[in-house]
Order: sequence, then C-alpha cells, then structure tokens
Amino acid sequence: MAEHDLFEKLVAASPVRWLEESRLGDEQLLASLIETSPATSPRVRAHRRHGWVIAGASVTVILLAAFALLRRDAPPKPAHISCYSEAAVDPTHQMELAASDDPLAACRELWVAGAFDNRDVPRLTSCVTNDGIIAVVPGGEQTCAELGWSRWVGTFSEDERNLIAFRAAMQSTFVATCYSQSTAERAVRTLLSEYGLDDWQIATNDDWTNALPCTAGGVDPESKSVTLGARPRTDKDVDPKG
Amino acid sequence: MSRALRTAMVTIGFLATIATTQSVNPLAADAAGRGQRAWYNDHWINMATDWETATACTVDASGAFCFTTEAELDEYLAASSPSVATAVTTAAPVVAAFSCGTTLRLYDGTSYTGSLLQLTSEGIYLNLGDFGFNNRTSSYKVGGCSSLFYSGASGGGSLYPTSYTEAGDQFPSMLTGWNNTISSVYIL
Repeated sequence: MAEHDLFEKLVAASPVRWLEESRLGDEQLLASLIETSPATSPRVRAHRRHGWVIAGASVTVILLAAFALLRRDAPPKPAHISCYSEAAVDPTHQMELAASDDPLAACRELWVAGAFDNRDVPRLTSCVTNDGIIAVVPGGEQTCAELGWSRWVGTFSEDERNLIAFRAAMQSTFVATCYSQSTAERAVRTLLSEYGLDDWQIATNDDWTNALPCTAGGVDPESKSVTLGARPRTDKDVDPKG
Repeated sequence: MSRALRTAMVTIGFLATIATTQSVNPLAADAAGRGQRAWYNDHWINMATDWETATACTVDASGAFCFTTEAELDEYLAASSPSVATAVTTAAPVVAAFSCGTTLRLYDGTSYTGSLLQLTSEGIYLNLGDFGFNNRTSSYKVGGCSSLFYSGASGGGSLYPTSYTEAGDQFPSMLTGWNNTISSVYIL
C-alpha cells in the first residue's frame, strides 16, 4: 500500500469488511450493466428522450394550471370590498361593502337580506380583482381563476390592517366636517405620521373657492398618496375641532 | 404504462393533495348559506325563513333591522345616518367605517337599466375604476346622502353640477356631455 494513497487508507479504515469481498453474481451483474447501457439501440434512446420530453411538458402544464387554481394574493386595495351578484368580471349588480374581517359573511348577509333579489345564498368565494380590490363572488375554488383573478388569502396582514384603519381615520376626519385646504393638509400629515406612513405624499386637485370651501379626501395605496380636493359645504358639515 | 404517464399521474395526485389542504383553511373557507338574524319590534327574526309581518329590512355592518312599513325603515335610516358600521372583531379588529344609510346607485344604462353599482362609503373618494365602472354611468339614484360626481379619478377633472346629485335625486339620464364620463364619486 502506498503511503499516501487516500483510497487505500479509506479501505483500510472501513468498518464493514465484507464490502471489500467479491461475491457470487457480482461479476455477472457488472457485465450485464456494461453490456446493456452502451448497447441500447438509437431507437430506444430516442423513445426514452421522447418520454422525458412528454413527462416534462406534462408536469409544466400541470404546475401552471395548479398555480392558476391555487394562486392566492393579497389585495393592493384591502379596504375596497365588493359583493357580486354573479361570477362575472362585469356583473349585473355589485355592492360596495365596508371593510371587515369577514367579507364573505358581510356579502352573505346582503344575499340573505335580498339585496340581489334572490334569497337563496349561493356558495361564495373571495377574489382579488385586476383592479386590486376584494370581490366576493358566487362560486367555488376555481371561480377566481376562471375570471382571470387570484383568490384572496383570507386574512389581512398587519400592513393591510394599518392601511384599512388609516382609510377609516381619513373618513372619520372628513365626513361631515368642513376643513379648509390648510387645516386639511395639517390633519392628513398628522394622520400619516400616526399610522407610520411617512413616505406617503399629499396631492391636491384644485383650488378651494367660496363655492367649494371644504375638503374631500381620497387614499391611493398603490401610489402611496392622499388626494385632497375642494367640495361644497353641506348642512351636515361642522367646523373641525380645535 | 409509460414512465411519462406515471410521472404525470403522481404529480396530479400530489397537487390534488395540496389543493385539498388549501381549501380547508378555516380562515378562507367559502361561505355556506345561513339565516340572517334581524331585530324586529322587540325580538329577533330569521330573515331567511320568516319575516313575520315585516316588509322592509336593512342590513349593514352594525346589524340587520326590520320594520313593518317602508316609511318606518326610511325614518330609521334618516335617524341613523351617517351610521358607524362596526366590523366583526378579532384580536386586531378591522376598523369601523362610515357609510350612508341608503346607497348611491349608478347604472350602466339609461333609465336605471344595465349593470348596477351600489356605493355606500361616506367621506372618501371612491374611484369607479376600482369597481370596473369607470366612464360607464348613464343614470343614477343618489339615495340618502348627497353625492359629488367627478370626471377624473380621486375627485379630479370636472365636478358634475351638484344641484343634480343631492339626497333623494334620481335621473334616468345624465346631463349633456356627461354620459359615460364619471370616474369618481364622493358621498357627503
């Protein structure tokens, strides 16, 4: 044994001595392996390649189909929920819903109340539309994919809850309260800071006038911006506190 | 059976197992029909089975309420607007939001025909594009809360004459030049 032959050292160190022994049938097995592999005919090899191509293509198609069926997304606009009368991208009737933890239950209540003329509540499922809102539509697990949408993951993340809460705070700030442009901008900056949305921008639509002295607001999560615009004063409006 | 076919079948079985596992997530479970409980006079009724003598009911996130006449319902809605829609509570509940007691109804066709979009959230711009309804409004019913209609998103563009969008207004067609041009609304 050569002094530096690592293979020999490994063999010498082997705790399973019988592995070194040649057994009956080993030679035949080795011979058959050597004989069959290179001797495979070109036709057989082509057939095998063909089989692998079919298998690969099948798996790819199945995986893509499964992805479309099972894909679950988070909605870019989690505070926007709409209840659909039927499983269609353009339904005959849809109703906007207030954000809630259970859009399916909220939509079901509308069905039960007869909002869609038919009180027989269908099976419902929730999707994320291409416009980024949650749509609750009649149908099952495949319905969202059939409409070209993804299924909703079913729960809101902390960021989404924060966004929903911010939008609600915007509503409670501006509903029935007449903010001037400057006071509105201050109020929004305070809210953005409170909700940790310091990287958001404030955009303004138009000039405030005597006819349009109050402020309306909107939230766009995709552009991370709050839009403020002028609106008329109504009988319900009060002045902001402080 | 060819190896390719066997591979495909094993893959299908595996994916079917995944699909079954996903579908039983209780947090995302699909809804099955169940009766809505509503408060009527001095007791609860099941709206799915028996309205008793109630003829008009309203449902919002704060609950369901029924009345003997539509006038009583209107009186209730007037008194409760704006309503604070309370949400289902969990450890970290999703918000309460303001909504008008009666909805703004936008129609795709004139004379209140075609696709209908009902909106209820007050005090925030609602972009109709989010609901697939951009530039489609041809007739409308305002409902219990005055509304503002805009030609642009998020209150941009021109403002539809506000004297035509006050509480209770309804028009079977739009003013000249405004058909299929509304992109956002604001419920006051």
